Amino acid sequence: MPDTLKYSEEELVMLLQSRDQQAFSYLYDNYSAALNGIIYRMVEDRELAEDILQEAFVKIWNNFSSYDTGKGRLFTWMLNITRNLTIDTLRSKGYKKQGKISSDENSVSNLTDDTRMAERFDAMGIRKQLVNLKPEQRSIIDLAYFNGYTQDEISKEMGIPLGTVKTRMRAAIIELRKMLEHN
Amino acid sequence: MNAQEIISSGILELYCMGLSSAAETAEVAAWAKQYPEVAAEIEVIQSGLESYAQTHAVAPAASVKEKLFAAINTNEAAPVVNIKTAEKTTAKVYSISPAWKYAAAASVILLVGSLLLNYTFYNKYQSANKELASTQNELQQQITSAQSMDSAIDIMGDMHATQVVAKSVDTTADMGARIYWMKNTHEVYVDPANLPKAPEGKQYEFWAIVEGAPVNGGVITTEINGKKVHVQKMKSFGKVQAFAISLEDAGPAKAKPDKVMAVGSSI
Repeated sequence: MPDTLKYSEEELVMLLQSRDQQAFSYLYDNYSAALNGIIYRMVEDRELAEDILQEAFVKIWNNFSSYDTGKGRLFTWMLNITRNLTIDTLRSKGYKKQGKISSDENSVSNLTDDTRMAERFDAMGIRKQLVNLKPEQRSIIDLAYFNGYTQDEISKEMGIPLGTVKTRMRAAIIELRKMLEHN
Repeated sequence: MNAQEIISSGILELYCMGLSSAAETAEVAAWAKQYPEVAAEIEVIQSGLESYAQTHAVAPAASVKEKLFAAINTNEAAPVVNIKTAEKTTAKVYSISPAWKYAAAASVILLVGSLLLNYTFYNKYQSANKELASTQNELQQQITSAQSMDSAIDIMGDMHATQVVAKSVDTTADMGARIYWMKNTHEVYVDPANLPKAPEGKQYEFWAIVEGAPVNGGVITTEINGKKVHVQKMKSFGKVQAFAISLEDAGPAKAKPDKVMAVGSSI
């Protein structure tokens, strides 16, 4: 991850729309780890996660013209592409098996990687504060964010009415925001 | 809904999480354009979630970036994307149309084939029908002929039958007829096998001589449709001295014979 921001989001979008590979390299450097973290949480297999990450970035590059700044942040758009691709991959039978086997083989090294990343963010102070999130607030965010669950699936998983998912999600995100603001 | 209601409803959070329905997503996008507060709120939620994602970041191997750039540069060199889309569209069209072409060709072939078969079968059916009709006709004739032969044999073999041979009056002519007279039932049969064909406009008539006077016994049929007629039934007679055959003008049976051709006495 680079230490200095070279582009604002607007500049970055403009450059990417003109298919600037340097800007794409910058985009990758800034967001690949965050996206990879989400894919990894979903597939629990480092190699598979990296394959999906690469495919996701190819999609982002090829479909960049369809990104509309009016609809939200660039990262959100990239995240949606990545998450959909991951869900599609998980749903295809072959990958599911492979994912399970590899996850067992790599679980130790993955754990250390995860810990290493966690230490880095601890230094930033954010991760520590996230501990203050109530477990159900973390899990509602995680189910949607890292597992790609639908509202319906979240309602079943957490045993809460479908209508409550919306209010719970809002409460959890407000709490998350408070913590990030303190940082 | 005003901006504050939208913000507090929780729909924006679902939207940012990618959990909103297609309809809700369109709605939120419209609100974001209409209300700057909504757009700002979305921005804040998204950057919050972005930070959350960053706390869980896992750096990928350096090789991923190399592979990624190799992949997009291959794509750039040959605009695979465009070709892919083009292929997809044409493939869609062509994947269906040849099937339809084949189907259409196949159905035309089938139709033509079926018409030819229909024609052939109709002809075969027609000729078979004709053949059947003629065979049935022939069979009917055979049956009739067999029946008449049967009845002729019955008559000839009947123990009550008295045979009388009507001999030619002109002794030089080799002609005559055999007559079967049933003593029990008085039925009379004639076999005109040895009568020459009656001249044009003439017919043979049968007579019984009863108490010295001739009584007409009916017209003798010598042939039907070119086929010789054999034993045939005439009128019945109880007491007869003799039988005679005369040649008369064609028409209804006469009261008196004109030219007697053959006579046979009845023992």
